[in-house]
Amino acid sequence: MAKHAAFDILYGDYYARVFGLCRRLLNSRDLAEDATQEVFIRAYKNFSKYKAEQPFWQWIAAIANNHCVDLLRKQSRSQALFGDESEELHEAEAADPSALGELMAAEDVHALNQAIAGLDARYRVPLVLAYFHQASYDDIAASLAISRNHVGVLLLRGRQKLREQLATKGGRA
Amino acid sequence: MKHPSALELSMYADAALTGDPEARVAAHLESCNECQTRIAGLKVQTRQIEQALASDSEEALTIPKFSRPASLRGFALANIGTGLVIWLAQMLWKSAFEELVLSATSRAMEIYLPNVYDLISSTTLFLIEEGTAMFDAYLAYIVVSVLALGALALFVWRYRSRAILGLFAGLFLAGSVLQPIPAEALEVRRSDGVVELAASETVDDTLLVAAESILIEGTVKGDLLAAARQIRIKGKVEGNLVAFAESVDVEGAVGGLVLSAADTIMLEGETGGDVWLAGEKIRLEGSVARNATIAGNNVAMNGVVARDLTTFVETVEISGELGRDLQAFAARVNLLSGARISGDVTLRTSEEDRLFRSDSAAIGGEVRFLELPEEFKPKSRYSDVEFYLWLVAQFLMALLFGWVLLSLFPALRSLTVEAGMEGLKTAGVGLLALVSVPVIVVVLAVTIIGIPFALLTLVLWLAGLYLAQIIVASVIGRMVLPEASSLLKTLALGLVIVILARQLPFIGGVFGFIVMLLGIGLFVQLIYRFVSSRGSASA
Repeated sequence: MAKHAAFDILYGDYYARVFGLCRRLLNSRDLAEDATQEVFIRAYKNFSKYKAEQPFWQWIAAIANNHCVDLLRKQSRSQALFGDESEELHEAEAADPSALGELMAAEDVHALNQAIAGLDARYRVPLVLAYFHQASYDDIAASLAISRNHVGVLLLRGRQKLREQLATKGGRA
Repeated sequence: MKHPSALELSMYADAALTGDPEARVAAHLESCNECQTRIAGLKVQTRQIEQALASDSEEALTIPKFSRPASLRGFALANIGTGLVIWLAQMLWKSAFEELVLSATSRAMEIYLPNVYDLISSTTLFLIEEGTAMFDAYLAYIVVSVLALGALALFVWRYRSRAILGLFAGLFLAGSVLQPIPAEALEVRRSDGVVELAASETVDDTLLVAAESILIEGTVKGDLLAAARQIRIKGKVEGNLVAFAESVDVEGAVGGLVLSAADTIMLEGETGGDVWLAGEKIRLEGSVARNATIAGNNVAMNGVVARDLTTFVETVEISGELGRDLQAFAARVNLLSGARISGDVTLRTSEEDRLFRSDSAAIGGEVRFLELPEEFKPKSRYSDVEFYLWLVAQFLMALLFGWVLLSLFPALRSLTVEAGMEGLKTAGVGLLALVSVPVIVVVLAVTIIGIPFALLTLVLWLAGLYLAQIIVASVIGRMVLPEASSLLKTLALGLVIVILARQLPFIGGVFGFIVMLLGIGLFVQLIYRFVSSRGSASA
C-alpha cells in the first residue's frame, strides 16, 4: 500500500508538470493527456528503479521526453525527425543576423506561445526541452539522439523561425 | 575582424559553448560592440521564450484517475483467488449437494414416519447441526489453504532464491503426480436448443446441463443435474439424478437418488437410491431399490419399490409391488389388482371410503386410518440448557481469542466489508480472462499445499474457523457501534450477532456460510495489502 500511496502523491503533484511538458512537446492537448498517462504508467512500472537521490522531476521528465520524442518520430514516420544538420546550419547562417534581437514587446506572451506552438516539431522539441524543461545541450542531444551541435543549430533556427513568424504577424496587425 | 557565426553566438548565449570556441568568442566579445548587442538580444529572446512557456499555464486542468497497471503480483493473486473461487464452487457443490442434501435425505428416510412434522423438524435440525458442521469443515479447509498458501507465497517471495523456488516446484510436481484433484471436476453444458449425450458418449464427472431439451443416451458417471423443458434419459446415470423440467422421462438406470420436480414424470428404469418426486402427473413403472416419496396430483405406481412409499397426492393408484409400507396423505387411494404391499397401509385420514381396495390386491400387514395428530411438539434443542451454555462458552472463547488476535494484529481492525468484497472481487477478476491452465495449476497447488499441512489442519481448523468468524464479527460490531467504541465492546457485540444469527433455523447455515465467504474475502484483501506494502518497502 505504501508504494501505491507514495506514487499517488507523486502523481497528484507532478501530473500538471508532466502534462505541460508533454503538451508543449506534442503540441496537442489530447495527445498530451494520453502521453501523460503512459508516462506515469511507465514510471509506475519502473518505480523500483527510481533512486531517491535523484530529483523525481528529472527522472519522470526524462521518461516524458523519451516517450514524446518516440511519438513524434512515429508521427513523422521517419527517423530524420530533426532534419539534416548541415542543411539547417546553412539556412541558419544565411539568415539575417539582426534576427538575434529581442522577439517582441514583452507583454505579448500569448502571441509568442502561439508562434511556438506553430513551430515545426523539429524546432519546437529542442526549444521546449531547453527553455521549458531547462535541459542542457548534452541532455537534449542524448534524448533526441542527435549531435550537440545539431541541438545548437535547431535552437538557433527555432529562434529565427519564431522571429520570422512574429514579424509577419506583427506586420499584418 | 571576423565575427563569430550565428550558431556560435547562440550557443554562447545559452552557455553551451566550451573549450577553444568559447574562449575565442569571449575574447572577440571584449572588443566587438556589435556582437555584444547580439548576445544581449539572444539573452532577451531566451528570457522571453522562457517566460512565455512558463506563463502558458494549464487552465482548468483536471487530473484524471491514474489507472494503475496490473502487476504480476496482482495477477498472481487474482489467479490464486480464481482458483479458490473455483475450488469453493466445487466444494460447495460437493458439500451442499452431495453431502448435505443427500445425507440429509438418506437420514430422513431412515426415520420411520410417525408423522410428517417430525420428519421436517428432524431434517431441519439435521441441516442445522450437521449441515453447518459440514460447511464449516469444508470451508475450514479452504481457510487453512488460504492461510497456508499465503504464508508460503510470502515465504517464497521474501526469501526468493532458486533453492526455495526449486523446492516449491519440486513439491508441486511431486504433489501433482502423487495426488489427483480431490474434488470431481464439473462438466457444464448449456444451450438454448437441444443437448444430447450420444449413446457412445461417457461423462466421467458430474454433468450439469441446462437447455431447452435434453436427451441423455450415453453414460454419466457422476451426478446429473439437469434443467430443461424436456428431459429424456435413455442412458445411464451412475450417480444421482436431479432433474427440473416440464416433462421428465427416465427410461435408463440411475445409480443413486432421483430428485425431480416436473409437470409430468415417468420413471421407467431402475433406481439404486431413494426417489423424491413432485409433479402434476407421476408414473412410477420401474424399480426403486429404496424408498419413494411422491408429492403430486395424480400418481400411478405399477413398478417395484423395495421399501416404503410415501405419497402426498390427490389420487394414488397402485398396481405394483411395495417391499414395506404405504403411507398415504391422499384424497383417494386405489389399490388395483396386481398391487402387492408387504407391510402396512396407513392412510392419514379418518374417512375410510377414501380407500378403494381391489379383491386381488394383497396387503401383508394391516390397514390403518390415522388422523393427523392434534398436538405437535417437535423436539427442540432450543429447550435444552446445555445448548445455551455451549453458546455462551463459544462466545467467551471467541471473544478471548478475538481480543488477543485483534490486539496482536491491529491491521485486522481496519478491515471493512467493502474490503472483503474487494477481496472477493479480486478473486473473481481472473475468472473471466484466465480459465484453463492457471486454474488447474492453482487448484493443484492448493491440493499440494494440503498434503504437508494435513497434520496441521486439525489445529488450524479451529483457528481458521475462528478467524473468519471473529474478523467478520469485529467488522459487524464496528458497523453497528459508533467509531470510537472500544475493541472489546465492538467485538463482543459483533460476536453476539454472528453467533446468534448462526443458530437461526434454515438461514443460520447460510449466514454461517456468508460469514465464511466474507472472512475469506477479508483474508485475501489482507494478504494482498500485506504483500503490497512489503513490495514497496523493498522498492
